[in-house]
Amino acid sequence: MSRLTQSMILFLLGGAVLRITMLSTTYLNYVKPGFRPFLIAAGAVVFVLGVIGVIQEWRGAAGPDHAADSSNHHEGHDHGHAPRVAWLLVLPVFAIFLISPPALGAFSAKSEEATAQMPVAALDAYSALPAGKVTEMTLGEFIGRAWGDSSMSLTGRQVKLTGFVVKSVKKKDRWYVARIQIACCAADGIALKVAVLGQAMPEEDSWVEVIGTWREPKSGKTPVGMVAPELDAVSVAKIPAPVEPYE
Amino acid sequence: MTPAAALAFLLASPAINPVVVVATVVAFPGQPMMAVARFGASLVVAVLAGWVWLRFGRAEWLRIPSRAAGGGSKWASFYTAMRHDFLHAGGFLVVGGAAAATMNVVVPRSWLESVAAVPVLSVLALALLAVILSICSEADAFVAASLTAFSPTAKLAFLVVGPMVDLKLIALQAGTFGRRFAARFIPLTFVLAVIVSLAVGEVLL
Repeated sequence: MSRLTQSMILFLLGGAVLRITMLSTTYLNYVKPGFRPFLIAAGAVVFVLGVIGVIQEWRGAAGPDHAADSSNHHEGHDHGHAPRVAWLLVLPVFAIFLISPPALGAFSAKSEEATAQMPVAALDAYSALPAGKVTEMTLGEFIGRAWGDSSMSLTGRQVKLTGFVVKSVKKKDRWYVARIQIACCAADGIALKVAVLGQAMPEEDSWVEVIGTWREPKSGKTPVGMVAPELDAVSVAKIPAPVEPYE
Repeated sequence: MTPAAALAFLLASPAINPVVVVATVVAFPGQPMMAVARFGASLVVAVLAGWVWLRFGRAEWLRIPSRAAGGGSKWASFYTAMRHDFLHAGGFLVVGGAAAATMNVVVPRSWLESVAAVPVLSVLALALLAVILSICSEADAFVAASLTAFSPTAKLAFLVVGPMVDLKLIALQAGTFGRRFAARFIPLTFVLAVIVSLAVGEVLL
C-alpha cells in the first residue's frame, strides 16, 4: 500500500466520522449522544493526518528528492509498514456512505424473547405519579416501576410510552412497544419491551405512542425479568421515528 | 522489563479501572459484591497470566511489533508512527468487529436460555457469550445485569472474560503479536478467567 493510499484511507475515514457527527445526527444510530465531541475530535485528528499525508505526497512528487524518498518507502514496505489489513478500514466508510445502517429495531428486539430486565436504578426510589393525568415516561422507568416498586406507584395511573412495534414470536396476537437501551454503543443494546393489550397491532417496526394503564399481574408479583409487564392501552398513535432512537 | 509484565498490563487495563468499577456498581444496584468480585477476579487473572507467561513463555512466540522507521524530524517520526499504528490496529479492529457482529446475528440467543439453570455449563456459556459479543468493559455490566436467568457466578465470568478475551481482541493480538502468541496466550487467559471466576464467585457471591 503506497503512502498516498494510506493517507487517502485516513482522509476518507476521518471524513466519514465528521460527516455523521457534524453534518447529521446519523451517529445517534450507533452511539450515545454524549460521545459526539469525542467522535468529532477523533474524526478531526484522523482527517487532518490524512490531509497532511496527501499534501506531503503531492509536494514530494513535485520536489527533486522524490527518488530518494520513494526508495526509503520501499525499504519500509519490507518491514510491513504498510499493512494490507488497513484496506479493511474502507469498509466502515462504504457502510456509512452506501448502506447507512439504520438503528437497531424490531429484528434485534425479537431475538431475545425473554425480556431483559431493566436494572432497577434505585430500589423503591420512585416518586408517586399524579392522578387524573397522563404521565410520559421511558420504557425503562415503566418496567422499573412495574417490577421493582413495592409502593405500586403505577396502579391506576395513565402513562404514555414511546417505542417501536414488535410482534411476539411465541404468543399469537401479542405485540410489544419496545425500545433498545444502550449504555455506550449499539453493541451493548438491551431490548426493553412492554406488552400492549386491547389494541390492534400497527405495522411492525413503526414508531408509536401508547397511552394506557399498567395491568397488575394476577399472581401477585411478576417474576422479575421473566415476562414483559403489560399495559391496558386506550390509544395507539403512530409517530415519526425519533432523532434519538435509543433510550 | 519482561514482556510478561506488559501482558499483565494488557489484561488488567480494560478490566481494572475506576470507570469500569463505577459502571458495575451502577448496573448491579444493591449488589456491591459484584463490583468487588469483578475487581478481585480480574486482578488475579491478569497477575496469574503474567506469571504463567514468565515461567513457561518463550521469547520466540512473541513477535514484538517493529517500530516504524521515522526519518527526519521528531514531528515526522511522530506522524509516521501515528499513521502506521492507526492503520494497523484499525484494520484488525475491523476484522474483529465484523466477526463479532456476524456471530451476534447468526448465533441464536435461545441456546443460552437452555443452559441457564445448569451450574458449571451456564458459567461457560456466558464466558463464551462475552467472547462473541465483544462489548467494551464500560458497558458490559449492563448487559450482564440483564441476563436475569443466570447465576451471579455466571455473570461474573461474563464480566471477567469479556475485557480480556473477545473476538476483536483476538484479531488485534493475533495481528500485532503473531498467531503463535495468540494461539497460546488467548486460551491461557480464557481458562484462567473461567476458573478464577468460579472460585471467586463461590466465595463472594
